[in-house]
Amino acid sequence: MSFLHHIFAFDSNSPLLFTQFYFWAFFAIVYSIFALIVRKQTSARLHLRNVFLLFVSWFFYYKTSGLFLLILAFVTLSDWLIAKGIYRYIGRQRLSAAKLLLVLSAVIDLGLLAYFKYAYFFTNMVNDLFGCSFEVFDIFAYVGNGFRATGRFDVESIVLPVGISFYIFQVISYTADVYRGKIKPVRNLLDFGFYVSFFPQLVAGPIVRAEEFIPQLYKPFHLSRRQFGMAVFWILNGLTKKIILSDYLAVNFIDRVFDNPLLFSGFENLFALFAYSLQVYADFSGYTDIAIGVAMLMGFYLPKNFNSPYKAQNPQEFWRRWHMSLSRWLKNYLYIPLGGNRNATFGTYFWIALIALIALVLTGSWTATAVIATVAVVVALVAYFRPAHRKLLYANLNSFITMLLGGLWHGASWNFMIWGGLNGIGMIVNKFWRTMGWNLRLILMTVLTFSLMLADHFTQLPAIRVFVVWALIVWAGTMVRYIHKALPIPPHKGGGKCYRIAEKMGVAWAVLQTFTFITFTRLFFRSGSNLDPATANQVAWETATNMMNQIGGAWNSSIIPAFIREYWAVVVLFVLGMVIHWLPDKWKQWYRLCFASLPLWAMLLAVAAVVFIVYQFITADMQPFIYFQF
Amino acid sequence: MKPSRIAILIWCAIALLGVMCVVLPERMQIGELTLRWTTLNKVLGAEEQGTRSQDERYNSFVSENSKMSVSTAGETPSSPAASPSSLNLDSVSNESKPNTSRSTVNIPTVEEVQGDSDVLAAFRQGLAEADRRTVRVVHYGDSQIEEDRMTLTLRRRLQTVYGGGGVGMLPLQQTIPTRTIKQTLTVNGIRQTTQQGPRRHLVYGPKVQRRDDGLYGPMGQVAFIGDTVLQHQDSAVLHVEPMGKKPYSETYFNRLRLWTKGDFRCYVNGVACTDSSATVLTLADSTTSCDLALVGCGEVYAVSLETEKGVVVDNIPMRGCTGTIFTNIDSTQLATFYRETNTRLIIMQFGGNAIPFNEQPTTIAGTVQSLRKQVRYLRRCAPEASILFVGPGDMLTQIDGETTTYPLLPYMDRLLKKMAAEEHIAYFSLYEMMGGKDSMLRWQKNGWAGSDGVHFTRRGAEIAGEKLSEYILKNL
Repeated sequence: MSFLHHIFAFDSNSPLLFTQFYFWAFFAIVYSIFALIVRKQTSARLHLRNVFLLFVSWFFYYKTSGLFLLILAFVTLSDWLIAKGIYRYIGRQRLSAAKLLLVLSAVIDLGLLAYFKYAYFFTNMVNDLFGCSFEVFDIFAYVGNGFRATGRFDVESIVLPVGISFYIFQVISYTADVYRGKIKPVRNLLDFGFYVSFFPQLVAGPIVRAEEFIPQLYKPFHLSRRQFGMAVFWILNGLTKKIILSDYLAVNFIDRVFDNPLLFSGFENLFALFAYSLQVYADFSGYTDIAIGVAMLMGFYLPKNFNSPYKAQNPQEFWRRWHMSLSRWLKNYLYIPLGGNRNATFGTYFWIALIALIALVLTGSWTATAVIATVAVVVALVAYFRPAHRKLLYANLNSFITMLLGGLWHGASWNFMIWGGLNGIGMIVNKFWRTMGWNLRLILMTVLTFSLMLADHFTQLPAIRVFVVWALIVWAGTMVRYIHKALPIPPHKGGGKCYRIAEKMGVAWAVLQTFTFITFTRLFFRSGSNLDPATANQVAWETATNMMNQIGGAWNSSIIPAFIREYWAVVVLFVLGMVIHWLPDKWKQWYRLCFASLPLWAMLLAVAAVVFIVYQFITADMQPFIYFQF
Repeated sequence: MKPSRIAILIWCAIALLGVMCVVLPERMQIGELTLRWTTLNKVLGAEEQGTRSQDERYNSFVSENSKMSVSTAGETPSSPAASPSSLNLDSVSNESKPNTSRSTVNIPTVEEVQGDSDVLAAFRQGLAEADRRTVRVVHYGDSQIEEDRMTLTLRRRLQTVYGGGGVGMLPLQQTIPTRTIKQTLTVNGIRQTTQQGPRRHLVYGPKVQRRDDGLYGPMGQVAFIGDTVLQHQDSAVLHVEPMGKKPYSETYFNRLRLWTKGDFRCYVNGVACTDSSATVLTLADSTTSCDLALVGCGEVYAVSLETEKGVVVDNIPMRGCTGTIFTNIDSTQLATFYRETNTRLIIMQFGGNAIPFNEQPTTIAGTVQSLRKQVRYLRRCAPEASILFVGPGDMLTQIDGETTTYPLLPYMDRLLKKMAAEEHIAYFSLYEMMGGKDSMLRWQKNGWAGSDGVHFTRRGAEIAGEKLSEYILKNL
């Protein structure tokens, strides 16, 4: 009975997670019914399949988020109705009315997102700006309690519904695509509901665009033998990534460093930061791998969300490989409406003003705001007087704003904005960098590195020291590429041996540089994660600065051998994870296909073996605390 | 593939795993490698009842404390009028006893715990003089008190009630930052980092950092300036300033105390001290920051920021230490320090570091026995002081995939309590205060403890510090 109760009753402590047995028991039952439904491939059965999966998805969401299911149902209904209205008005050539409806949809969707996700953020901002002491008040809880402050629901805190960031973006993309005429509105509300709440991707993406998914609703079930093998592979791959690479590393090392960076030396902090880069990738991509595999077993294809992002050679390429569905969404529904790479719109200026305001709150000084405002004015003047550079400036501005807001989407604290901003700066700098000649690059990097070294000598500030190391890495990479470009290429050979070695070294260095850059931006990302929203800003900032101080100050190379000896399992997993990540795509494709072609009995044994191995990591003894720095 | 076939395969996979649950033992030993597997009962949730009831057991503590304001009287920023710079330190007397009934959690009296109500008598007597001179509380501990955690709350409570100011003792170089004071050390004009800083000896550090003569000073660490053999002199400038902008009692100080050995000339804010051999430097007025320059060569044990009256509370974290190191510190040096500073309470907060590495009850008993020696040693060094032992808090480990309290932790807590009773010292069980077995899980859930299952977060440290303060104040 306890088992059945676990499966069907809502318990906030026991959501249905891909990494738990209960999910797979639930899925086995669902799939059995699903198999009965799609035994005959008639249109009525297809419709029944969609309705069945809709209710299964809602049940899944109820198990995860309880009554927040009503929010999901509400946005489904509102966007379905609004999209129909938009389509009707466009048909009647009443474009302003259609636009009004589009705005209404955005206000409802983003309003809900802002309410649940950013209430603390905005409250803190207003309190900081005007010296007030407002506190959040959950109006939904108040209504739920029958207009009383006390009752079943707590009105003093606002809980974030699981997956709201994903499904809100999904419905926005649907309504916007209908407005743009890319797709026709879905006739049946239940079909639309299925698209919004399809359970494998409901909680952690990928963000599926309507034009990619809705046509699949009307296609009969089809899964080839090899596709089945691939689906199983993705599920096992995801489980392994999530539990071995992500959870084990997090529990036994990374979390404790981020919780208390001052307990650890600079080297340990740095290692934790790099390990976090692997952990966050393994966690997120592992979950989406499972989602892709589960959806594929039911004959639905979700877009690829990660493409070995740490193979990227520059920040732009990284964002084309990392959380690809979000990057595409931001490009289509934020960057392009802002003006893209052509011009600036009202949105561009609005966000610049808001960012300046945020900088004011963040730093507490008018100087920072004045600096940002001055930069904005200079950019505006350059754009006005130098039309040739206008497009480039607008493109970079829009790109920067997109990254900032993309950062804010990940979490409601300043740290996420800083993280997004750093990524934006990285992309812009890289764009300009690539337009420069190699001589200029080398001179620039030499001057910058030397200046930073001087600054370090006189200030001894940990942050400056970190920048010095970073500048040295970039300088070395620039030098490698400079040598590569200077080498003569023998004709009809595509380059001599030295040339090819230098080229490969150049690529490796670029990958390393990008990985290091992305890792350092994550200092702000991880510090702000999993925090009580009421104190997120303060704690996140302190964690980030403490880590930076340790990395730049409390460095102690002598502890490295002892660290490797004591934390050997963590180090081995990290190295193994990175090596697998950096394997050539062809190799990966090869072993995936090999697995998919295994006989079914062998695949079953592989499932049992993987689960057994994964279980060893779940139950492994915790790494005891070891101090290296006193 | 047909979906019905896929469904059968899914059930086959589940059945195969089910068979493995029946056939395979829970633990398999292959050489040194331990493999684990689960049982059907565990998978189907039949073994969860125990955990549930434990959860309920600790819910009361959590619900009572989750709404507790940590910004209590002792932690409220001092108003300008209350800051020591303008505060009449004489006005604080024993009459202003704290309200210990703010929390509903029952804090036991010493008598209830140990059957001896007099173990804090020396501290109580010392506090009676707090309006005339300083009364020192030295809080030694492991990493649980790093960053001034727990001590900060205790200090604010005591200074609110009995007056006093300053953060107490600081090492010359701050290798582990605190949340109260920011220190920077410049030697011969070069700002020092952890790696480049002056040579140090630590009584609790690795062997290479120890010394044979036991002269570690009251903080268990010593830093070297210049070279006494070569008579090479250095100029070390220690700058201190408060971490935050809000004025608390510990922010202000009007006296500097130095513990050094060697030949030094002192300058405070650039002004030379008239008496070069002075160990107590009284400032003209209360301040929140200052520059202390030491020119010469020798050993620096500690610098203390304090007031002339009231309570001074030192935070002395000893990372990774089990607390069995005090006997390695020169007893004459310690005794002189405790006597000169009117130390009336020594808090020893240790034990946590012995837990993960001792898997036998006998080794735990051995550690407790060793701690007993430390208690006796400190009592000999500070006969005028009360001693309070704070046991380890709940700590988590993983046993067969289940996160739970270290099996020997409750045993150690009991042994320490017994030892304290036998030695007539006070004992505060952090473990029981947290809620006992598996309470760390709840503390983590409430954001009061970190994911390592060992250390408190700031909020958790404030709660624990508050409870410790209540315990002390209740038993005076």
